[in-house]
Amino acid sequence: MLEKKLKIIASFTLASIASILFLTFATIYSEFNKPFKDWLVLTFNHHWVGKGVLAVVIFFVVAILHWLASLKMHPIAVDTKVRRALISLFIVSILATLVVIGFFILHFMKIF
Amino acid sequence: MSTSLSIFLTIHVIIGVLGVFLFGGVSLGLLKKKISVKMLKYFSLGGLISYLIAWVLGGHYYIVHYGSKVKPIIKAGDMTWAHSIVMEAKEHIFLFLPFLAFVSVVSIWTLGSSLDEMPKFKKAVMLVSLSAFIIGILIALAGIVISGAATI
Repeated sequence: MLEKKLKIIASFTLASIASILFLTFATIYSEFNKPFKDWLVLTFNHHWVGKGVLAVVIFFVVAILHWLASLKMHPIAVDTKVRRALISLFIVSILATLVVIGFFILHFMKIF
Repeated sequence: MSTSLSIFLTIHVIIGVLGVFLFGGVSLGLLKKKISVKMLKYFSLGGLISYLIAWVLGGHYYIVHYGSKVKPIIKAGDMTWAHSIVMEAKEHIFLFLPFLAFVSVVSIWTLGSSLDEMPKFKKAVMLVSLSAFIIGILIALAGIVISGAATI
């Protein structure tokens, strides 16, 4: 029972990491690639909405795929693996925040 | 600004700050040796709902009003960085919050009191909640800077 719960947490944790990495990439990439930004605007009415919608789609796709794959996973060390995934989510979220802030500072200073 | 938009903006600010406080409470609650499961469940779920409502209302204001009315005022002033750095970073980092909050809610609601038996795991869940709290504070501070830049 506990193992099942941990696998669900792992799936959502990895899905969150994927979504945050996508958002960080899309934020920076859309500043350099006008066709990508225009596509987001055309498809979703606003680039910000587009990034948000795609992040949510990625979140559910990764969560479902990981959960299905985890059904066959061996239960050994699930606790440790899920704990590591949670710590990775914490680190990724803080680093992604710093990267986005740093990028816009450098972009404003016309260094990027 | 229309009355409905100003109401949306006010609710966005209040409920966003409420979400920050709730995740602050979750982070502190998870530091305890014996957690209060009921409090953590309600605080984390309340925090997630707060962030989601703040996301929708803030997003609506940003798309309908900010770009056409507020952004030009900031860009024409002395604090152009308030939009180019602070708002640009805020609008994108804000998108991280619901995912962090969701993982925190799922962990607390599925494991409940079992978290006390897994102290290292509890600490890892605390770190995710702490992230939702810290980023929430940054977003709130960014909102204050942008409001200031638009009124100066």
